[in-house]
Amino acid sequence: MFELLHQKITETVSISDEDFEFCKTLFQPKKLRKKRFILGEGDVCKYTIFLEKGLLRSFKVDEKGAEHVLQFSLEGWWCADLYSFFTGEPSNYNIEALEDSELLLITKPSWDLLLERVPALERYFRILIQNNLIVTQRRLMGSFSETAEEKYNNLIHAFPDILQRVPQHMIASYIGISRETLSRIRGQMAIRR
Amino acid sequence: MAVKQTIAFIGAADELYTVLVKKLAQANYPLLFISNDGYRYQQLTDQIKSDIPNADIETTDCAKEACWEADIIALFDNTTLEKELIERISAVATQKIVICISTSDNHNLSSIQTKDLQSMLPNSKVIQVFHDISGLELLVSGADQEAIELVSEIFENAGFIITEKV
Repeated sequence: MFELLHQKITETVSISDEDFEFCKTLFQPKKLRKKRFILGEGDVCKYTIFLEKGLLRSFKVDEKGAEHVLQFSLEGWWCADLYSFFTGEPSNYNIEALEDSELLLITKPSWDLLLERVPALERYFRILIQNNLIVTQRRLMGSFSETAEEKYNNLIHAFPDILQRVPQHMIASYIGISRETLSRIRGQMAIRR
Repeated sequence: MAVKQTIAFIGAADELYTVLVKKLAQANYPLLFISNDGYRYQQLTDQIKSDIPNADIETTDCAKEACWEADIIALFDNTTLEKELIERISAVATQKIVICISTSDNHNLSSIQTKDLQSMLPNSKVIQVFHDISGLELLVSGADQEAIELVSEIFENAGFIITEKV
């Protein structure tokens, strides 16, 4: 426990052993079984989640009952509905484990305390949120300008083993296409290879 | 869709234990029973599931795994809380609510135990719940106000009446 978190933090900033020990006291370790939820639509997102092991998906269900995948999160990634986490407003989406997962959860008051006490982590989270903003903007632009095939290529570039870990209909939902279109794209790519 | 807290239980399956877990199962809280006597707890699970078919209950003999999975850990004072057990769950109980449950008769005994428990689990939020075995009334006390409110809400959802929050 905590090794991957330490590794990820020290890839970006330096942190003393003492500060990291303090950091550990503020995280809640949580095992989440496959198909269980850590956040439900309508609940306030009380935690920012660090994923030590497993796979999560964030998704929304529309009024017709169709699921729309917003994000997949892998080991070493952070996951939350930041809008709900920072504002205390109910969340618009769900976070579900696609595999048995091990999480480290931190609440907003603990997060505030951590950033106040450990400046290195304030820097770490600033960089993290900055990178998240860049990725979000890039994805937003991509949703207007990229073809479905480009979106698929970007996804498998970012998550090389995603095809082995996630059902195809969820990948199609993430890209914003039908399962049939995804099959056609994969078929065309296979022929070209 | 509200996600309900998973609660792990450590204690002997006596009358108080049975009353509490049945009501929480009825209110759809996922429950984890920790026991070395799997047969007895499996019987209780089967009995609850026959009354409440969609009850979400599992029995395990590994306290650490169950407490790791749980959002809230409930300890009954009808069992001896061995130091070794508390040390085993300590790392996975960080920032979690740990409820020490006893009958009103054991009020003083439980207060002492709760102090010990809080010193052994310094990064957990230890809450005491006293239950009047003859009724559905509970008294909830502790140092963390948010934890008191959450524990009270859970037991109220399960049909208990919170008579006092201290």
